[in-house]
Amino acid sequence: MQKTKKIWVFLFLLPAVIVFVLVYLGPMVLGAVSSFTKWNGMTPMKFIGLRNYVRIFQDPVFHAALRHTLVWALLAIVIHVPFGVLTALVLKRKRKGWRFVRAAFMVPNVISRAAISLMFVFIYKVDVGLLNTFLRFIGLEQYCRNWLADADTAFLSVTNIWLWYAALIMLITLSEIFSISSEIEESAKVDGASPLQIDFYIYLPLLKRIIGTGAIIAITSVFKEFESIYMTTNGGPGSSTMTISVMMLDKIVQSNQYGYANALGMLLLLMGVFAMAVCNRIFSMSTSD
Amino acid sequence: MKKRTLAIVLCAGMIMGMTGISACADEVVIPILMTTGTNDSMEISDGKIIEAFNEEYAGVYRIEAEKLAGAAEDYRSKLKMLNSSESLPSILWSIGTEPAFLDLMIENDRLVNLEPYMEADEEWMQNMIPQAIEDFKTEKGTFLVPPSGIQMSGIYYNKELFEQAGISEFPQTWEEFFAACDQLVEAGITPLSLHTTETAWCAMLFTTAYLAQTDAGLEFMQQQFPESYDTPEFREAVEMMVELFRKYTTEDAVGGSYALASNHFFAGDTAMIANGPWMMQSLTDTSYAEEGFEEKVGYAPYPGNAMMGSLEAFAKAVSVDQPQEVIEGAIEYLKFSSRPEYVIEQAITNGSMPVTMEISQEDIDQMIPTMQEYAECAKNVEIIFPSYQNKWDPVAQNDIFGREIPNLVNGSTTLDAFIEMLDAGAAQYREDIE
Repeated sequence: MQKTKKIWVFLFLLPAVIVFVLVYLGPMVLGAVSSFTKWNGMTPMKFIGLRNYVRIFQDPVFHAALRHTLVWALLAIVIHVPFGVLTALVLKRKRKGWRFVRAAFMVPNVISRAAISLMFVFIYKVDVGLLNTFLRFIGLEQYCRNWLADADTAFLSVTNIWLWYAALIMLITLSEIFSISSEIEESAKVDGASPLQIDFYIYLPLLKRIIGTGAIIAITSVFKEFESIYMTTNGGPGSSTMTISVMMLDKIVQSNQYGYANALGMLLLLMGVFAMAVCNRIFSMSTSD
Repeated sequence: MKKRTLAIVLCAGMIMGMTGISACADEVVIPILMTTGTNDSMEISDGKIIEAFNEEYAGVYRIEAEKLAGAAEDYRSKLKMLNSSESLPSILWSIGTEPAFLDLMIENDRLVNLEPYMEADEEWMQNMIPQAIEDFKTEKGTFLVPPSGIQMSGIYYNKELFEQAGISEFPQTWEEFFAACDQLVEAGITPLSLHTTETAWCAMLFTTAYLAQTDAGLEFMQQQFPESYDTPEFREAVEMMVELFRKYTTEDAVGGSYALASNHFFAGDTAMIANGPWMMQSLTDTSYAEEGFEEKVGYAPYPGNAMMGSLEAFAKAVSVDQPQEVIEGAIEYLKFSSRPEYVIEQAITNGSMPVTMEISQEDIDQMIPTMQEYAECAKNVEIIFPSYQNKWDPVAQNDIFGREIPNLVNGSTTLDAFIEMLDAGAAQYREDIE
C-alpha cells in the first residue's frame, strides 16, 4: 500500500518536475554555465573563467545598478511593506467605505506595470504633465522640473511609481488578519487595551510571518523590476535609474553579450536567494511556533 | 442528424487547420517583419509592392507581413531577439543600419549568400548599382541586395512659421541657420524638434551635418568604428548640439522620443525637424497633421548644401532561418521589387532616388510638393555624408547618446567626460568583437 502511494505521489509530481526542469532549471543551468564564457548568442561559447564577473564588479554602471537595487530593497522594507500592513490594519476596522478603499487600492495592481509607467510619463511630462501643472497652479513654478530626464530627480520619480502601491501586501495581510480569531481581540479589549495597543501588541506579532512573506515578495519584485524603468527612463539619464534587469537587456539587445548578461542574471539570482534567507531569519519563518 | 453533420464538418475543419491543409496547400508563405506607425512612407511603398507580388504570384508565394509598432530601433531590437532563437523572418530590410550586428550575422553565416542568385539573373543585375554589388561583397560572398535607390536626409521646415518670423528663404550656411533660429525664437516660435532617446536621431543628424562641414569632420565621419571621438571637430559639433538643446528646442526634448519630436513638428509647435523622406507620407496623413499641412512644409539640405545618405543602410538580406522554398520566394520578391516600375514607385512614395535609371518629370509631378523639393535637393546636393548609425559603434549609439546627452545638456556631465565615455565604449566594443 505504502509503495503504491509513493508511486502515485511520484506520478503526480512528475509533470511539474518535467516542466520545472525544462522551463526553469535547464535555462538556469545554461545561464550559469554561459556566465563563465564569452558568448554572443551565435558563435560557440568560449570559456573565460571569472572574467565576466570581474568585469561586472569593475563596471561603474553595475555599481550604480547595484546601489539602486539595494536602495529599492531598503525602501521596500522600510516604506512599501509597512505601508501595506498599515493599510490592512486600518481596513481591518471596517469603517464605512472600507470595501471601496480595498478595491480602489487594488486597481493599480490589475493594470499592467507598463501602462502605469506610461501614465507616469504623462504625469511627469515637463510641459503639460500633471505634476508641473499642479506646481504652476499653486505658484511653485520654480520647482517644475523635467522629472524623468533630470539626473537629480529621475530616481525618486521612478521609485514613486511602485513605492506606494502595496496592494498585494495589504491583501495578504488583511486575509491573515481575518483568519485570526476575534476572541483574542475581544479578550484584549476586556483587559482594557486600546485599539493601537491591540494592533501593536496583538496583531503585529501574530502577523510576523505574513509580513516576512510580504517582504520577500516586495524585495524579489524590486530586484527584477524592469517595466517601470524601461518604459520611463531606460536606465538614464546617465546611469541614474539603471537596474540590473535593464542592464541585462542592454547587454543582450545592444551588444549581444550573452555571457556577460547571464553573469548579471546569476548575481541577481544570488541576491534574491540571499534576501529570502535573510527575511526567513528575521521573521523566523521556518520555525513552527 | 444535423448536429452530427455539423460536428463532422467542424472536426474536419479543425484537422485541416492543424495539418495545414487548405485551398492553397502549395502556396509558400514568406514571413517578413515591417514597422508601422513611424516610417509610414516605407510601409506604404513596400505595402504596394507586396500587394502586387502577392497578386502576381498567387498560389505560389505569399508574403505575410507582421507589423511591428515602433521605429527602426525597435525593428533592430526585435531582429536581435529573433536572431538569438534562430527564427529570423525571411527578408531583412535596412540591415546595414547597424553594421556591428550585420558583421556578426555575416561572420556566423546567418544570411544567405545571394551572389549565385544575382549572377544567374541578368535582368536583376542590371537593376542594381554595380559599385554597390562590389562593395557588399565579403570574403564569404555577397550577402546583401543593394537598394535600387538612395534615401537622403535633410531638413523639413514649416514655411508658414518661417514667414511669421520674417525669414524669406531657408538658410544656406550655419551662421545663417543660427541667425534664423534666433529670429524664430524672437518671434515666439520654437525652432527645432529634437529628442534624446533612440540614439538621439534628429539631434545627431544636425550634429553630424555640422561635423561634415569641414574636410577633417567629413573624414572622421567616413571612419568605420572610430577608435577615438576626441577630435576638435567632434567636440565642436557636440558643443553645437548642446546649444541646440538649450536654446532652440522644446522643453520635453531632453528625455523625449522621436515620436514626440515629430508630433511637435506636425502640430506646428516647431519650425524644423531633421529627417529623411521616409517621413514624407505622414505629412498628408490627417492622423498626424491637420489637412493641408503638407502645403506648408518645405525641404532643404543641411547648411552648406549637405545631406546624409548611406547606400549600405538600406540594403536587404535573406536569412537562413527559413526553409529553402521560402528563401527562394524571398529572393523572387527581391527581384520583383527591383523592377523599374517599383523603383519609380519607391521614389515617388518614399524618396528612394533611383541610381541606375533616370526619373522623369512625369514621375516627379506625381510626388507631393515637399517630395518634389526633396528630389531637387537630392539632385543638387554637394556634400553627402554617411549616417553615424552606419559608422559608429553600438555602445556609443545605444548606451551613451540616449543616456548621457540629457546629462550633457543639464550640465550634470562635462564634454570631456562624455568623450571619455565614448572612447571607453569604443574600446569595449573592440574588445567584445575580438
